[in-house]
Amino acid sequence: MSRSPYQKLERRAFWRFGVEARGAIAEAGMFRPSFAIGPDTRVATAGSCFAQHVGRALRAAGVEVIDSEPAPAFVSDRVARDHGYRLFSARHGNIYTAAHLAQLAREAWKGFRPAEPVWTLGERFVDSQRPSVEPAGLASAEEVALHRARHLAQLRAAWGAADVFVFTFGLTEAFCHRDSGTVFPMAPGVIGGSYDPAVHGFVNFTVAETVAAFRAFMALARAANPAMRFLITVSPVPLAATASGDHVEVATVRSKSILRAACDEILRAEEGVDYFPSYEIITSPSSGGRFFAPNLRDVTEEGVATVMATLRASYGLGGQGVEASGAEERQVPGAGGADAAAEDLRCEEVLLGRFAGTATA
Amino acid sequence: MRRVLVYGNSHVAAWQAAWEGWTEGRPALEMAFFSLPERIFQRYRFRASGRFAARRSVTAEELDRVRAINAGQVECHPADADVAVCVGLSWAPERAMGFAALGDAPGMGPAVRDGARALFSAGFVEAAFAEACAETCAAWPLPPRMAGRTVVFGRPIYAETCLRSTHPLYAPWRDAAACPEAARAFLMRYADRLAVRAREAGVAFIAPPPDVAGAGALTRAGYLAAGGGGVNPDAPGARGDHSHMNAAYGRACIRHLLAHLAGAEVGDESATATAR
Repeated sequence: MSRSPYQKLERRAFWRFGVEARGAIAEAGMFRPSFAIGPDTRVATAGSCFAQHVGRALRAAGVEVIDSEPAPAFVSDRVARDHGYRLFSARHGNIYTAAHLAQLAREAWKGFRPAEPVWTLGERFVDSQRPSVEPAGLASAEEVALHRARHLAQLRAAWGAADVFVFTFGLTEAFCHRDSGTVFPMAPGVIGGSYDPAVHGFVNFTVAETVAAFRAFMALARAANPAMRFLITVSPVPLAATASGDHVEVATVRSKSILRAACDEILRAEEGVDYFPSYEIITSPSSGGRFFAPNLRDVTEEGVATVMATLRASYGLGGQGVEASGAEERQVPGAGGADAAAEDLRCEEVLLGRFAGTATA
Repeated sequence: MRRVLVYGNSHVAAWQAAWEGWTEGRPALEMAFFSLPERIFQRYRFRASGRFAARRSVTAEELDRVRAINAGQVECHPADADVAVCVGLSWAPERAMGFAALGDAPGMGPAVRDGARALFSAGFVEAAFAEACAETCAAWPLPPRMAGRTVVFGRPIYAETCLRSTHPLYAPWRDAAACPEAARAFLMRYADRLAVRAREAGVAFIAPPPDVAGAGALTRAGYLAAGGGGVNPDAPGARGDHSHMNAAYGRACIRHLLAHLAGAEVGDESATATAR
């Protein structure tokens, strides 16, 4: 046999062995970390709603997952999570885009002030940068500002103390304030605020923009915390809705492809970054689609367990499962079915589903 | 003449001592008492007849002890009274300290504006307390068919002396001790929420009177019963007794109850507001 670069490669490099004939995914070598995470590692988590699983899995495995804004222990998970507690290392809600993450870091460390910081919610007020954390809103705009200032202090503490920052990229689509470029985590009018096409614009970030935003975040984070390392991943959860004009499935593939490509660029350009293949595990042909719930969007408990088992195995961590919660998803008309894994999450993006009833043919 | 039955566990003793030495002019009511040691109290229940009587697990020796405490009586019948006041039930004020240890309460005033701690919203605090208070109320052993005539008077808050103990029971109070303003603010919200929940169940809940509290939410050491409040330096982790109060505390509670009864009918919204 003539010489070939494919000779002597590991079995995992070949589809036949790596996918077709593999046993447990967790032991298939899909992820080989370049740095360790152990019981003494302080981890901060953020990202889209799928990232909530990561924090819980790491905590269940004995890792010190930072919670800089804890709720009292007696408070049930349902009430706590409905108010943004016990989801991430600080109470910032879901961060779906790298642009929002970078903006939050600029606000925390550089004094950036978002445009339209307060949205109305009926006669109440919400923080436009995390509108889901106060389901009933606050009494005044001043109170929103007060809560935000306190939140940012806790956020700085969380990110400043983290050895590893885990971020799950969720979306490329976002709405922004046209004049200032301020990015919102949710479109105005979904949870508070009101959409005005003259004021608010739709953006669909490219690979370059996503990479630039995340690297800007990394630079700010490392300025405050030089030892910070990064574990990045892409949420396998498809878009609940798209404002791009494309079919939602086409928009999903675009979005996830961009995020996956951006992760690769970040990984190649920066030291101290690992990519964990949660997207690949869930969408792998080897799973035959069984990691998706009947609504073809939510990830099943088995899927989450497989991803988290792979994560733990990769770091040599113990623990069997994700912390049980018994939490129930908030009732969202038109959101479709959801299994227990999805019900534990707080995903305001799902709220977009309620607009399905107003869709045109 | 209004007949009031005060029943409960060992915390009734402070009330009884206060009433027996009452010098503030007798209000137009009769007050009777029935108390049980906590371990026996846990094994009493209300029968369908309304009698508060022992379960089978209460031994003959324990019944003898109950007789000795209660002038020969081993059970009581709150329905015979106009108002039944249950003293000493758990109301878990530690939950308020759980908040105070972690952050500030909404509406605390200037301290909130200048602080750097986490800040809890009224909506979150309300949701957390509402769920917890429903649990607490459901666990109270209450006399049947006495809706509107029953008062639950909360168990005394530990005395300030508990802060010297390292027993885990006092951990929430130790954790919140550095933030007395937050402790008071959260405790008031918690007691208010519990009163609302209790009212929905046809019961009036009255928290210990605020004037017995020290700088934080803990009860002033001067209200401790004789022998209480000690912490052995050789065994700082011992539980000790920082909970049983004296006749002066009982008097404060009775005054608090009388204000409540004078305000309106038991269970009435305005009455609870008066008592706060």
